[in-house]
Amino acid sequence: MHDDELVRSLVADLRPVRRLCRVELRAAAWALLALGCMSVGASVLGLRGDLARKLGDPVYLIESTALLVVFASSAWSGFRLSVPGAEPTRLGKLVPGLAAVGWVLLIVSRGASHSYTAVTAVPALGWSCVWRIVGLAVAPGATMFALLRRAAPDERARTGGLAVLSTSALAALCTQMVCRNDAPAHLLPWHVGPVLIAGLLGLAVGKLLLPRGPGAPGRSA
Amino acid sequence: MHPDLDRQLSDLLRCAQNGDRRAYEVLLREVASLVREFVRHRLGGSALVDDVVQDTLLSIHRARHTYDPARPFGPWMYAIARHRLLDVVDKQRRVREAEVLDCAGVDAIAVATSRDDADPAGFLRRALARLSRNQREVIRMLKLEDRSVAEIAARTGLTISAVKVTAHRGYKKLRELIGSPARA
Repeated sequence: MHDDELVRSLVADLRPVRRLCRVELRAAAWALLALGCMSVGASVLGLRGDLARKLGDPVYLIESTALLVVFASSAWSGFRLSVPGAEPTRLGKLVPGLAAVGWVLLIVSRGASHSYTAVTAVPALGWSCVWRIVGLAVAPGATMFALLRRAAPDERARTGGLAVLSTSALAALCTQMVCRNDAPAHLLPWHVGPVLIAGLLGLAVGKLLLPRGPGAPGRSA
Repeated sequence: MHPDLDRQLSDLLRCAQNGDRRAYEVLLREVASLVREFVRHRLGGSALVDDVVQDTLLSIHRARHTYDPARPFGPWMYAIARHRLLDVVDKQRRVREAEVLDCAGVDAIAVATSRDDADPAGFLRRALARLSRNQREVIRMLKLEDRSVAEIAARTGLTISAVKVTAHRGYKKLRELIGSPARA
């Protein structure tokens, strides 16, 4: 099969396409949409009564910031990975994982100073946090996958993993604004666990849902 | 890539995104030459070079809407070429290329069915029906419609290597179903 024949065939197949928006714009637009969805979700679920006080707590703020970094850096890396030649730098690829590890370590390091209260001993309360995280992540996650499908992600597993990690991190942040239990013994299994598991499952979801090979064809004008 | 060449190719792709076929043809020919050089440095004189070049051209065709003219063209093109190169090399580790377009094997299947079955055409149809949809489709286009591998790749969305692998697996399954070894 000579190149000439293929070139002629591709030229004959050429149609105008609607160019993908810039990566930065797509990522920013999606992030705003996700934050909007989460705000609505948090309002519906009901913000915790002591939120104003917690926002003055440096430990709470630092942990929330770590989650925000996981959300933002994962989304940024995921969108960049979906466009050839726009892949994140080596450092950029490490940030989401490092931020997630930092978040976990912050909670673990608090472990000694908190006690496992009677409230957290009731499994139902823990599961409700898991369902909140899942429920809050669905709409932004589906939107992100729809946007990524239109691009050309070659590393489908990693792109999918970053997408799910981003949405679940934001959902966990939102859940922490609803759930009053900040004990590490509650956060680790019921907030951290779902986020990390979701990120791993995202690797498989990426392979299933993102287009194989060179990506979906562009839309005609 | 030299900045002038990069700018030129970027302009050509920008025109092609708007449907300019002349610009697109110039672009693809230049890209084929650049990618061939890029791949040869990594694979030497391997027969896989053609596969990678053609897979890259197909990928560029399908992903052309993702190119942002505000960015340099080179990184975009070489990112695609690099991934196609990895795909092809990875597939070759799993499949023996010599058996892929096994025309002799298909002829042996035809002889075996005509010798052993009162209704060889029906037997072959039943055997084909037991292949996966992709395998059946690829073999039908290769043998009945006499299409090239590249044409099949463009129609089905598979890479060229994937078409060859699919055909190989289809022939292998047919041989198992019919119970006749391929001739050397």
